[in-house]
Amino acid sequence: MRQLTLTATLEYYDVPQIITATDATGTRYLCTLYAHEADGYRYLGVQISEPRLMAFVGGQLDLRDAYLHPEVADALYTVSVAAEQLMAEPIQTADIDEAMLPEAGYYFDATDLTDDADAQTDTYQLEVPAHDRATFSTLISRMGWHATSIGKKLRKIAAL
Amino acid sequence: MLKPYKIADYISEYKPEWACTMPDGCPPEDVLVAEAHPFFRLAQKADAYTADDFKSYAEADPQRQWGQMLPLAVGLSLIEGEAKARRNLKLPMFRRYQGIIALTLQPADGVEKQTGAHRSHYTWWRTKAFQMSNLNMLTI
Repeated sequence: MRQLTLTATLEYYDVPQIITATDATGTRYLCTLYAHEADGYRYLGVQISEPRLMAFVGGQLDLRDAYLHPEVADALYTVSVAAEQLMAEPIQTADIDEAMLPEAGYYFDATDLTDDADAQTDTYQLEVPAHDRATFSTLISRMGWHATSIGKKLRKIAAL
Repeated sequence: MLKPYKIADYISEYKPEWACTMPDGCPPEDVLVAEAHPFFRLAQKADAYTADDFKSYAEADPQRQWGQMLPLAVGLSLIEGEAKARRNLKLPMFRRYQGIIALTLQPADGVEKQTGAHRSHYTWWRTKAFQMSNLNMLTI
């Protein structure tokens, strides 16, 4: 069993329905509420990479697929939430009941986010080959992203 | 229409009797007051709404330690837009739900505030003046 830290509530209806969390190693979990018991709430969690989580938040990944087709083996967990503590315990795919899963066709609505949610950005450090510089500049311009060059790697640092 | 109000002004004008005991600072200072404003809420049955459809989690589970969630837990979620409400039916907690309630709220019914990540989601702090009549059930 491992302790998780809540990072965001993505879908709220009476109580948080879809949340994200991280563990001590920084691994991300996408968690969907499936039951409330006397001792707390039960979420089905899946370990998820940042790009895949961004695909979900961007409305490009069916929530059900995130659980049925995880990126790695043994990625599923039951996450118990009680007294603001999140505890994750591994669960085998065979032990997952259909009632724990979302129906097919739930896509996160990224078009309806509040300004606060919209304002969230992610910062990446990329290494772009010099011959792709023009392509990269065009891409960030078209997407409305912001990029700052923080250095160049030279083939030879110095001729000794 | 949703009209901005200070909660003190709302209380002074409508003298609400809240549906449950409100924690300190709840409802919040800045709220919205619905004047014949349409909202949607999920229902457990297809053809009839019940009192349980309007019971908050804090009312249903008063012994739970809600912590910082308490102000939202004493409220009820409302969705602006039928399609957005229908999408939630695909989530595990609502797969057994069979209906959608269309509500048209009036000022005496309570106060609302946009909460959560989506602009279409509101929390409704209900008063006892709200009557479960003249609500429409939508088939799903």
